[in-house]
Amino acid sequence: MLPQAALQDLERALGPRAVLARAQDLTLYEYDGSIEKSKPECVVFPRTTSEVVAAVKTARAYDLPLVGRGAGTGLSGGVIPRAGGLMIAFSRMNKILEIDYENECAVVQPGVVNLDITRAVQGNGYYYAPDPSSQKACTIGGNVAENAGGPHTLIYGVTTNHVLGIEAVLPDGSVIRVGGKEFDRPGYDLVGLLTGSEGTMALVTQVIVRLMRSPEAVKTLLAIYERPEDAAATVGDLTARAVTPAAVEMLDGVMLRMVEEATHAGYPLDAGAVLLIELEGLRETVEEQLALVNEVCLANRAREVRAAQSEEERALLWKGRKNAFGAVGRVSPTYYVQDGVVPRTRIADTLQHIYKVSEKYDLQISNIFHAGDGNMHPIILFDPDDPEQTARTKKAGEEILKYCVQAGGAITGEHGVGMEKNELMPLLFTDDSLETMERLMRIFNPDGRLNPGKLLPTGKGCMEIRLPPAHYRSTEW
Amino acid sequence: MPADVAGAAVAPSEIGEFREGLAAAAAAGRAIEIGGAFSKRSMGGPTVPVDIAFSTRNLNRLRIYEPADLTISVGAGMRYKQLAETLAANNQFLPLDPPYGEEATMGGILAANAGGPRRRRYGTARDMLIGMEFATLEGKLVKSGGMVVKNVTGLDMGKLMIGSFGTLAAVVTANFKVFPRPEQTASLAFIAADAGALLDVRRSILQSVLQPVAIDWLNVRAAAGVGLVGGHALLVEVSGSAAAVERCRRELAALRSPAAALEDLDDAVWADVREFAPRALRICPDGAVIRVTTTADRIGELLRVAEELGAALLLRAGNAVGYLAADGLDAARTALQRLRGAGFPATVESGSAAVRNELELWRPLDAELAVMRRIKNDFDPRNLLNRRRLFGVL
Repeated sequence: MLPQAALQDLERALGPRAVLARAQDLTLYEYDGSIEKSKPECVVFPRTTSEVVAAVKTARAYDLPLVGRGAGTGLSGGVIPRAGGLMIAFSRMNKILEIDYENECAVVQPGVVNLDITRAVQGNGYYYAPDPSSQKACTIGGNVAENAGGPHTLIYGVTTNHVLGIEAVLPDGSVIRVGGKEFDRPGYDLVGLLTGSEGTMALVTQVIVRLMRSPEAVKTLLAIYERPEDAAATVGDLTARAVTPAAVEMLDGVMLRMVEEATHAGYPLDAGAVLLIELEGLRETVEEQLALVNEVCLANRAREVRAAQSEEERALLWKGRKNAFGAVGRVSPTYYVQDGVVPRTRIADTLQHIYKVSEKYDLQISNIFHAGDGNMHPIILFDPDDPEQTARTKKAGEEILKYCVQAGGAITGEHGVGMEKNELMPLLFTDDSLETMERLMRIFNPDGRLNPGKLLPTGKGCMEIRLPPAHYRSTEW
Repeated sequence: MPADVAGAAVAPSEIGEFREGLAAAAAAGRAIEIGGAFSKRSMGGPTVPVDIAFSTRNLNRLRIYEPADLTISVGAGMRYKQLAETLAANNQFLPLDPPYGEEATMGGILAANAGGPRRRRYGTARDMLIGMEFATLEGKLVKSGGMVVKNVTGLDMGKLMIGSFGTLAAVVTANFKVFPRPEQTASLAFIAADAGALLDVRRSILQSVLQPVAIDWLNVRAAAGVGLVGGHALLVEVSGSAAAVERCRRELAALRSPAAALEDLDDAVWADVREFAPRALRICPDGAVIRVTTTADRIGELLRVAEELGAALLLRAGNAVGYLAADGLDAARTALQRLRGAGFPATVESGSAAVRNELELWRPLDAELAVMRRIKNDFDPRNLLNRRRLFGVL
């Protein structure tokens, strides 16, 4: 229970309109894009870094667990307050503070929506490169916490490659600024360490992001295949031919039909798989690569390769891809998206394994993923009201992730570990490695107050020091 | 330890043996130096007397290389040169272009965060490293990342090791994403006596869609050092297909003016540019190379300071990271004062023993230093490992 005095302190520091504590209000903050749920005891909406500091100090004073939240679009339960406590929601810290073209960067608050940065600078020929599928809603603070990716991170990298500086509040209420507009500052790369730490080490209150020059030309192709393995083989051949597309996305037949019915993007209903390939760069480069990609696709038995002829056609093709999860929502009460990643040469056999798992557990699994970097997103459809099916779903998911690990891959490419995969971390890391991570985490978050129960297995995570496992709420799994 | 640290270093060829040796030395409370080829001992902080040195040079095996995956895993002791040759056989490359590239090992390159001109397009070690294993003083073998190009599983501890100058742990393996080699490259230089004219060219290039692979500025003195005379030189590398390179050449040529001449360059010029700091210290062993990490809007001002100091300046003109060569201890002291006085973050990146012992090499901010000290203290509570190698501070 939240002490009344804590509530009063928060209302005094942030104003009564910046604090929510009624049960019906808190329900909105009990979930994210994953399938986990747990209510905070209080949510605050700071407008400034000093208000964040005040909230953090209140949490310390009353010994409350603490978690930050952006838009809540995360897919690994990163913002679920699994130990209750105080949630700091950054939706009011949503200003782009500075756009600095000369130095190719922007200074933004954590609640700024990803796509809004590109919208603010595209008129001048610039953009912010990482583009998670949720980019119309997700915020930069969350992107930094999760080291978010997206389809277009194939050439230019993920969030960590585009963050130059961070201002953050530590769980002791102190404010640190690391990095800056300058590259290559000496010392330990604290920006690199904090990016992707899943909100377990610091609450990000300001971010300096890189801006990049928009490419001169962009071309999008849709290659249509009878068999998913031919689509997968195409990805390897593109690499062998030294083509580096800006994005290579794959949708299998199951996925295609769901997406087409929902968005009418023009995807073929009878195909086994499609690749959505985007090329960007100089006009000359794009034209040449277009011809080469066409050739490689046909050599791998694509039955047809279509190039979008207009910006509208291109947008429609991408709409199908980016709204895929919504399309799944139309046909299944819920779904479980996975995020395993494998070396690119292992895509075809991993996909085959996913189909076997689908049969073995009698579950429908559709596949949509970033084929260019081997980041698989099998989507398992299930009914959460059916406990037996839910249990099967979990088992199927784990079996797929284990296969990814055996193939030389990892359990999460861009969604984060969160509270979804933290117990699977020993598949990849020894106790020595996990303990080293935990100790680094503890340097920033010594009493485990910040975002407890995430990223590390709860058996050995620092949260255990603070809270016995019984303190956690059941997560429905 | 004798002066010949590389010769005297213990250099196991198995990771297990390396890890155990390191842990045993730490348990005995011995002061330890770790290195690869020890090619960059003039970089970072002073080299202090130690009880034992370890080299990773025999942890030099190619572990995994699947060209179609565009990834490679090597022992930390593999030399950059050998890695480059391995990749070149498959028409691939790792565009780090570090100084001391003939001898340097991958572990040392990561520890020093050494990079080069093509960072404008490809970034630095932090953008290419996808996985790592390091051995700690406690005898742990710790893994971060893996062999896939996109991976957020666990804390990104590899980043922490990059640029740490071996003050936290010993990197024993490193995994990288690699790139297909472009079909063609071309190198050009704009030469101008008037820096202002060249600044305009720089801006035009970076704001255009051409987006060069490398764009380096050599001030008058630095340009002369690589045989380019007549003023400041703005070196540009473009790459891609024949048609793309031809277009870049054409459009770059259009930026030529009476004030800024254009010359074709042999690609070999980049080797000289890459070796700027080692060459400066060879010519002037008492000197120093100061890294100035600034922003693009202050490049003009930095050029003026360098001119006042009469110093050679190499600038990664896309990222605004400068390297200023000072001719001796006093010159280095004067340059540091002048740069810091003007508000430029300046760090003595390499220099003579006297330079590294006597100057305040790095001036970190208190809050970030406090966090860094906590990290150092966790990995190395007795301060045994590469003591003071991180610019004399850690």
